[in-house]
Amino acid sequence: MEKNNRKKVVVPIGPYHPLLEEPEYFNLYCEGEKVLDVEWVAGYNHRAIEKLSESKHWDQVTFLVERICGICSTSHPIAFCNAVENLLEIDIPERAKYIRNIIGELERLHSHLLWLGLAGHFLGYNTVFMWTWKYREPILDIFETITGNRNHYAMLKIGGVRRDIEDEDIPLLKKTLDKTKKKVGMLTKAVLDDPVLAARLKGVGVLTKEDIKNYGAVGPIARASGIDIDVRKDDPYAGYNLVEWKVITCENGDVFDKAVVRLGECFESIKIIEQS
Amino acid sequence: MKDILKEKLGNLIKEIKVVNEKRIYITIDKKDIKKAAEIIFKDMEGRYIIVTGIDNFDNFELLYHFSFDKKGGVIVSLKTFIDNKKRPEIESLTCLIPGISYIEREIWELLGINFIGHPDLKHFLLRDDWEEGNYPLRKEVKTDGKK
Repeated sequence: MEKNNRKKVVVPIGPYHPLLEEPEYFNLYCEGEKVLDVEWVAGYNHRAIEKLSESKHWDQVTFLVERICGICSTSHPIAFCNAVENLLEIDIPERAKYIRNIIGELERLHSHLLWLGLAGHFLGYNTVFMWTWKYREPILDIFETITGNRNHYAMLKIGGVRRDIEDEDIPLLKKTLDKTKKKVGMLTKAVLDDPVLAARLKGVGVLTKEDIKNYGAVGPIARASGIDIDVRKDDPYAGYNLVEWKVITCENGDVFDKAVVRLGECFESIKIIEQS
Repeated sequence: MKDILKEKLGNLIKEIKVVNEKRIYITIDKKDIKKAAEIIFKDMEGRYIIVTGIDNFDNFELLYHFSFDKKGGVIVSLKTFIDNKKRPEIESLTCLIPGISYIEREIWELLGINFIGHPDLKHFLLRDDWEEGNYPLRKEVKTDGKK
């Protein structure tokens, strides 16, 4: 590593840097404008949740693992609940499955919009950042209405969910989704047609199918490279097998396609929530 | 799926356990782990997920998880035991699966299992000057960090 990088410019970013949401450290090895290699140092925020879980009651762990990530605070408890439910060989009520769908997809919506906003911000295109985060806000409000929290919803429990979604909240949910759909449609057009974004994102950060396989990448990253894996389709949990939706994929595997996949998935998320 | 695995892995299998239609555990001898992983990753095109390291008090257990997404999401886990608790070591698979590098570093620093042949075995989550011999995820370490 040392030898190969001798002639390159090293750009250190972090561990505390205004660009980063969490402390982490990157050494970018650059040649001109091109980043050739990166060294990543993590662990500044390691809280040993796996060790703590050993000392907690199994019912407490659901809420502990929710704290692994502040943005995707449903994915970890869902995984934990699925694991325990598999172990106990229990099936959860149908309504709980649909509620898990709704919570999971609302989270995907806000998370994809957050990603897009940050991507715009990192590119120095702050209009995208302001717009997407503005349209993300009503989704957090919906979360607050139906779960009581904007983040860390604490909706999941082994064997089902902790709260029901009240009938009187559903019209507001539907209204918000309708509005979001229009706004995401507008954003999609704005992003896809923008020559600046295309110039900055197309052909950048390409991951080939081989890379995806070697590094075990999944989710939108894999789907942007043309690998049509999606755990919600291939091994459905919650109630994803009870609703109609499709897996979004792209071919090029660059950052632009990663944005396209995420925007496409926003519409699928809305479709799933509407059916649930 | 079980029959295909039996045919492909042959006598590398010490034990094969089908928990349900989605989970298959195959116990492999420590020395055969690379051969077995190569067959599953290269020949059978299983998707590498992650490695789990467990301290079982008497020994260490490593689980190499692979997924077959288009065959109903079956997860095949290669299970291997490291009995030598004083000097636990196993062959690194980084040259076979590049993405495995990070988790090997993590298991190395948190459980103290040495991955022989890893190209860059250094701290990942813990700080660089972390004292040697203190492996936080071992069972004898309590949550307050004391042994």
